[in-house]
Amino acid sequence: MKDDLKVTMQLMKQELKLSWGSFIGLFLYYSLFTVLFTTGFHAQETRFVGLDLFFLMLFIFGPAWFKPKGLQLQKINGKIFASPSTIMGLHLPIKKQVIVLKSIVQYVIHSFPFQLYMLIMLYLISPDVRNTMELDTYISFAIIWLSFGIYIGFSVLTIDVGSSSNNNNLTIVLSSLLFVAILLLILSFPYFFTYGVVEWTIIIAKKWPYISTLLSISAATVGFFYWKKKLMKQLKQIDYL
Amino acid sequence: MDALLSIRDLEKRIDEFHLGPLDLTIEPGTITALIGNNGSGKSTLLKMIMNLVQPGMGNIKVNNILVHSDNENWKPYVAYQPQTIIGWDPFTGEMLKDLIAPLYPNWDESLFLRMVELFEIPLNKKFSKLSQGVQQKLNLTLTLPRNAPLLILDEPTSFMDIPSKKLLIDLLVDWMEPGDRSIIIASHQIDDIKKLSDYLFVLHNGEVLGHFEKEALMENYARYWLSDSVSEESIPGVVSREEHVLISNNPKETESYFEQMNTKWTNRSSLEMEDIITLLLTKNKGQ
Repeated sequence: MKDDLKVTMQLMKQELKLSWGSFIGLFLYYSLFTVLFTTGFHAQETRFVGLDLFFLMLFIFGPAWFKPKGLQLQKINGKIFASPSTIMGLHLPIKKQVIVLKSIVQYVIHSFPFQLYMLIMLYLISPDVRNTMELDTYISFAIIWLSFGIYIGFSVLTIDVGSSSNNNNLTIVLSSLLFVAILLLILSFPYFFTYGVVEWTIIIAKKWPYISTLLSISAATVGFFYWKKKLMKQLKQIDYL
Repeated sequence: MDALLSIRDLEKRIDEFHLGPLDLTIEPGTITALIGNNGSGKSTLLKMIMNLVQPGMGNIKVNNILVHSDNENWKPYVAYQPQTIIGWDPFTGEMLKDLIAPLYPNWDESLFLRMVELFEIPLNKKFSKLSQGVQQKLNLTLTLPRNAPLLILDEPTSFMDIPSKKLLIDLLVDWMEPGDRSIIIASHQIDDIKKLSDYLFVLHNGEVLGHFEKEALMENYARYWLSDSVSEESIPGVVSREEHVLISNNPKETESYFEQMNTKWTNRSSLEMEDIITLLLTKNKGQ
């Protein structure tokens, strides 16, 4: 593992040299949402459901938005989409374990610091947030979301490693329907469950701060190993034609 | 010496296309040209050797290690130059060198610098900003110095200018000098095949037409000019006939038939490599 990490870092050195623009972009992007959320938390009480949608998106897709050109996902052949750096790694004497590890570390570098920054800033600049939650509650709330960024967020990496896009009409229709259904579920969440997704996490963090923290950290740990295994399996099965 | 590469009963189905069954052994000190029509499965075969594509059946061993297994220790034994380079676009040549060189324990820095100079490669330019020919030169410059025992080149010279192609052939010949290395080169360039290869592995629509020793293959083909026209009956060894001109892939049998039938020929010549390959590939067109 130590050797794998050493090779991962060595490989990432060149990619990180290209990523400064992305880091600035991510910083500005998360800053913008921090400002929006300071008013959004307030609006949540009056059923501003956009908060849930954006919050979820920032903790899942955030890092994918500002990848440097040339490292963004691309079509490898008619069916496979993958990160170019994954393909590059497969052409070189790099263990598949290292390729997976590199994808994970890249995702974490492009997500965790910015998500943490957003959560800290949100607490510091928003009196609304401070009034809603005490510091210990807020720490639980932050851990719930940062963990979510791992056990759900890492799912994005399956595209990074390579995913087969079946282009038949039925698949496209079903995928579109699924996307619309998820969107509707998030938007209608408060109407069915009284509160929105973010507000529910605030309630959970308030009521069960220790249990929710512990469960979130456990889920993140299990999620990390699950996705690592899943990505390895995917890497072994896909035909990179 | 053990084989560097050994392929047994390999098969792969991709939609309607079927590659194999296929057996191939690559001994150290040899250059094998992988030849076939477009879509014959050359690149797919090379990708299976690199474990980028899973075989349907059969196995591949590099330096006696199964490629399609959890043991990845075979990887440093192979240097692969794909036909389409993915992932290099945002990097400069210098950055790519810094990324690739440490992965190969036998990296030859002096060969790298020599190739940079010979091919006049600007190392400070982004890969995406280079012309296709220069991209190909840079790719070779970052592949050959890896000094991996098995070098796999997929269409390495398709965009290169004529002087550079000549330079590359000289470099590859020099590179082979130690005698313990091998090259597999998939190419449509007849000069690459003629000047470099010891063996020809010929594929047609996924099917193996043969694994030939180049010199033996050249000797096996002959063109005859006959003084009289011959009957329509089949002549042993003859693979092509146009009025008074016949081509045989078994001159011994053909000549013995001529002797029996008292048929005279006015001239006999050997065939060019290009003609032999064309014959091999077109003869199987209808199959």
